Amino acid sequence: MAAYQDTFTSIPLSELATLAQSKKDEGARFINIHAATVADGFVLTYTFTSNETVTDNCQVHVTADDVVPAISPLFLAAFVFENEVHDLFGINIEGIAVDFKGDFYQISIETPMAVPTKPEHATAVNTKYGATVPVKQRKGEEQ
Amino acid sequence: MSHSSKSPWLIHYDASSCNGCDIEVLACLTPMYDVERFGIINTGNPKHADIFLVTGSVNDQNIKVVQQIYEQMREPKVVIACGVCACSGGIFKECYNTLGGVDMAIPVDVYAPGCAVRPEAIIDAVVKGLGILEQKRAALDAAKSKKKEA
Amino acid sequence: MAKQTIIPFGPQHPVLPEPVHLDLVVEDETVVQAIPRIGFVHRGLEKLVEKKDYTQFVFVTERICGICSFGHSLGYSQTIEHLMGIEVPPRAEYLRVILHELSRVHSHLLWLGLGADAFGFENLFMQCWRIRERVLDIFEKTTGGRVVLSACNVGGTLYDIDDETLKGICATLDVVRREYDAILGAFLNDYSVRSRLEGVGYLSQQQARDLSIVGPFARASNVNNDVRCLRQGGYAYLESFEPIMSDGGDCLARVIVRAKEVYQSIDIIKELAAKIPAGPVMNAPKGKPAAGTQASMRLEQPRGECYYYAKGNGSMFLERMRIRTPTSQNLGGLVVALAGCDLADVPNIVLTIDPCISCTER
Repeated sequence: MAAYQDTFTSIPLSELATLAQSKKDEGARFINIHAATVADGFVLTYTFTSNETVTDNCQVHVTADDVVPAISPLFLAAFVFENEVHDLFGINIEGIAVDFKGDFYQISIETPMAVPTKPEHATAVNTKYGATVPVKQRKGEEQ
Repeated sequence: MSHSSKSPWLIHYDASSCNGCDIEVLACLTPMYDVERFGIINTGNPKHADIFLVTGSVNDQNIKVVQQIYEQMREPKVVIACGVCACSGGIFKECYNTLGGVDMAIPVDVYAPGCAVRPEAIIDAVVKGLGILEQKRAALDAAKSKKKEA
Repeated sequence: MAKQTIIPFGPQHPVLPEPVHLDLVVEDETVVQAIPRIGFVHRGLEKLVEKKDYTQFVFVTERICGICSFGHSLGYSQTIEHLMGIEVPPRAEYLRVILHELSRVHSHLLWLGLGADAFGFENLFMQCWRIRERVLDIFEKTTGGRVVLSACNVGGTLYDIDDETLKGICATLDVVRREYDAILGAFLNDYSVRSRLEGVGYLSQQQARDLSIVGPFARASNVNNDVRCLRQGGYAYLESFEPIMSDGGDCLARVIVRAKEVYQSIDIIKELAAKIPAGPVMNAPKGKPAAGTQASMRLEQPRGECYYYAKGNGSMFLERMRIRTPTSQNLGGLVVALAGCDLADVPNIVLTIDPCISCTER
């Protein structure tokens, strides 16, 4: 199989805005933003490709209190992922181009991906016609 | 066979399905399985429909939509849950945004499991649903005539 | 001054197979702005990695979307193979590409049918889906499923397709090609179809680059980011590969690109079926993904480039699995393409990006 080439580099949060600008200036294509929960916060991965051959993954370590600058003013397609990361992980991203302000996915559980175990519904969901979803206590630590 | 189970019109809604069951529902309309020869039409208007085909499980955002469509349909009506996600939540039962099958939102008359549900199973389920539709129509007529006598 | 009204479109609409909600801000009959709202199909399956180990999770990825089902199982398997350094036997690489290109044929025929229904040509919709049933018969004969195949897993494929069956598949594809030739003229040359599609939803090449769009949506605006050009996996065994491009930038160009890709996929399948080597089809994975390892992968699905990311933590369960699907990337392009169109063209333009909302929301 022809070898697939990808790179992983770590950068500090302070360099994220300059990285996005340099990618825009060199004409790189934006691919993806996603987050993963780690022991002391989150790791955001920004993926670009400069020459359509090598996939460059740039990883930024953030905590729940950090304010992350949005790259969607430069790459409009990123607004989907920035809203998603904000809603599902609770990461604070400032300046999203099309900001749904927490309402992108209307789910009743706060930041479900940031909780280590499966979070149960915090409040009973009202359904007519007899079936109700029972309220269960959260297992493990609070978020 | 009363008139209400001849050429029933159906309305289809994808609650949170992966689309597999939806394309099998649409495949029932196409020349291979062709339910249109029985007079079944896929309508977009809930008030025209007799049968409600739902695919996919239910979550916080679409539970209201499913209930709204169900309430707009006129009696007698039948709900068919197509696919295992609509029956019980399927492989996504343990996901944080899945409440369960469609019976969490509306009363279901026929369950048609499968992942994805086969067109033959959908047609079978519709035929079963027609039997239930007949019973509901008979009950409505009986209630009407009782009212008249009273 | 024209009055502005907001018309809600979806989530239940006869032309939409999937629930998506758009708030269309209109002045008279012209759409000034479109604000999407998704989230009806969000199941949260990326968190299921905590409950299903890495060999079981492929069955969850197959069910992200019923149309791109095989593509997701293939992309996931390739990601884990890259993560753990697993070699896939050559015969499995060939079979994977054959099944994936069959998936592309069925997806494009499905889309052409829905597109025809959207611009009002219901007979063409029926014809496209009738032809598509032949492809589904192939899937059923070889893997047992019509929609969800469960044929690909980490290390290779779960089923072998013997050479006799491959010859039968090529014969069926010849029949598909003949029937498809007969209806293709309606898409490409019919006057009323052209008048519905020409000039509608135009995106220039520069806009396509700025919005980072992918797939046939981008190739119709002359921007090439087809991952098959990288010739990974079974695509490395092709003599040559040239992506289908167009510089029309409008709905008609997108229809033409997808219509021609059907022919290209049939040619790819026949080329690979003719020279497939003998051998095993599965190199079963042993062990677990090592702690601290991570890998990414890109795959060209029928709708465009799909990006996968996996992270291991030393146990049978992955730490994180991420699937970024082409439609989430193309949502920005949809919003820009809708601005300034007629209200009656909205279903046309929404379908023209080949939306797969269940992929977007996972």
